[in-house]
Amino acid sequence: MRRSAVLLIVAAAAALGQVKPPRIGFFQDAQNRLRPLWGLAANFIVGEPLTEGVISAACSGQWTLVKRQAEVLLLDEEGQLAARWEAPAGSARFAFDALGYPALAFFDTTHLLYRFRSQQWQPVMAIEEELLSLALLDADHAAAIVRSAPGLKLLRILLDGGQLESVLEWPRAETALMTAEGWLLVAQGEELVLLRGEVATRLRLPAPAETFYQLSRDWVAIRLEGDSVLRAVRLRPGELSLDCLAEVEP
Amino acid sequence: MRRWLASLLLAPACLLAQFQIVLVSGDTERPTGAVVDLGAIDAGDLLDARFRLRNPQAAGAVLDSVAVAGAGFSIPVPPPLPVTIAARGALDFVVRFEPRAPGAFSAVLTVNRTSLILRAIATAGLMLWLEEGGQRVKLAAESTVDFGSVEVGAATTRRFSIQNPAQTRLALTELTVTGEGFRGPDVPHLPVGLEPGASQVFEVVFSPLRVGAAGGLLKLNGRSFRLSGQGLNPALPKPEILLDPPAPRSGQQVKVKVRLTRPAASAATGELSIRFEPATPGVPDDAAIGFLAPAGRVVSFSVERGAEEALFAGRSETVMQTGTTAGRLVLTARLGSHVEQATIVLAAQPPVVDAVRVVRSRTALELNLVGFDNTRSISELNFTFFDRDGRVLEPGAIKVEASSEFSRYFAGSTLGGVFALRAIFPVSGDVNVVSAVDIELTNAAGRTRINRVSF
Repeated sequence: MRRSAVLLIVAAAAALGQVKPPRIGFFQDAQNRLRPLWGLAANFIVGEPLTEGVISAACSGQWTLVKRQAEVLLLDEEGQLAARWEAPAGSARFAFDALGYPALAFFDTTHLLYRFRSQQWQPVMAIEEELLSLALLDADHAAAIVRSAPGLKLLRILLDGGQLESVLEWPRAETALMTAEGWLLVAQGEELVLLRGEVATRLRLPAPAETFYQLSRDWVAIRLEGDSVLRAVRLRPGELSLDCLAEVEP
Repeated sequence: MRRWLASLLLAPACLLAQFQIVLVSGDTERPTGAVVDLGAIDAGDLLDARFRLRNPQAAGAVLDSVAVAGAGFSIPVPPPLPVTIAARGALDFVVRFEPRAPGAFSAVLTVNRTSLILRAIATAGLMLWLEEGGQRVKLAAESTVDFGSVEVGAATTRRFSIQNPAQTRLALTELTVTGEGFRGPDVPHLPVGLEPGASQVFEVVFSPLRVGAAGGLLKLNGRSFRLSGQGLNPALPKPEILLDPPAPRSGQQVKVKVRLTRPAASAATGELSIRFEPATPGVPDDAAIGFLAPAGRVVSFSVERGAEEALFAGRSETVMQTGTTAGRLVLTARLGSHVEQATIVLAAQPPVVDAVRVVRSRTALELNLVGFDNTRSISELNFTFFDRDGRVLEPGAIKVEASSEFSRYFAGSTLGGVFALRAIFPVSGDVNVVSAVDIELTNAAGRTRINRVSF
């Protein structure tokens, strides 16, 4: 039995005007150029480079943060420059909030964590360990995954005042990443595990994971040990898929 | 006859007045007299003596006749006659001495009205014959036996025979074969006596060790015979294209291997390419179709010696994408002279949904759908929303005519059949009541239904 009308459908047809190319995000190619990436699982299309000299990059799908030698760039969904800040030399890690806006940055050379507030990067605290991933847990809390010996540690940080609230140790984990939704992607040997609350989704890898970085909300770029091919993992609870990304020649 | 010979011997100076006749050896010229000694050769050999006629006069002189008369002597390539030799000019020709038996030989060489006596000696020696196709060819010292073109690793054989043409027993004191790739008979006990008329057969094998020209030397009792051959690249095995999955569809990544029908006898490089033929003529190219590492529609591969499969930058397979446009992908593997193809038929199929995300706001539902239509012909969409108890919400199935919107999108897209659809459904009432949606997409190949996408 149908319930009373709750959907006003007259606008549905007009809404279909928004058919467009499916953009996955942006990625850093082997020549450290930032390229747009379109497509869907097993069908990637790599665009022309937007900028060169990229040291680190992260993309929420909506916004992209790019670390170059002495600056951080903020690009919009179309790859247009939206903002630019001076920054310490070297690599960086970034995190976005649940809506895809810039939230956190960590600079590896200074070991300083910053939060993005009022269009400014504000220092929060120093983290001495090697930082692998950052995530904004809520408006007041961040999570940082750092390398420990052995394994990794998950730090819960109170952003106001830069307090360390808790530390969780993962002695078996080799590398990990936390998404804006709080999902954890953990590499243990040749196994990749996506943890969403109590639900764990596993994927067997051809080789141990070496590094990851986020391509978009749903996609993570992954490089495997001894493998020159950059791959992409789609984060979907209950189903992890691994595909190859095109290796663009110089 | 006697008078003719006497006048010949007594009057060379006046008869030689018209042309100066010299014997040429390399770059040097030797003046001739009435009698020219050509020297001694083995009875099995031949000797080519090059004569040069010089015209020392200030005007051209006509050469009317050149002839040699005497057993064992010949002019293999006579000059065209008559011919005018320019003032201070010269003309060369060869007199060949090819004795049939040992002994002393002489002949008369006549140039116009001038005559010379040629003398030569043939010593008793072993003759060397090349046996080929049931025939025998006598070999002269310094002549060349060509073994032809042979693949590296393969071999060809030539059969020779040594004959004693003399009336006495002759000794074989030397029989050796040298040169890379050439292998001669194993003759451990020399000298060996050869009776008059007797023959001894042996073989020489040419098995080139490398590509290119090869040379060797066969030595028989102090006389040398040149051996030559050409090493060729071994024929490469035929490549076979293997796909995993074996029958791919649109929107897939496919592992591609090139297997060889037998182990490669030598290292080589080849090429694998993709050609796309869209099912609908005029459809733009699909940028997603191609190999991934390195990106492109052509990849090179290498084959190691002894290998049974090709390597792509050191890996035994490469990965390609089939794209999202219906048609045919023709893969072509080229290795040496082999050209092998495999065809992937990308059949037209109903729309494929890759991901759906529904986001609630206070007054609307925003549905984002990513998928592909390899026919580029989506015409109709249907959405049916459900509440938390699984009951259909009013107004039931929402049908949307979408052909014009998708036609416009695909007309400007070079990304194949991929698309991202964003649809907003304004809600009157409690938006939290809505918890799932059924989605139906229709194109020219059929209909796809996604049931109960929860959100």
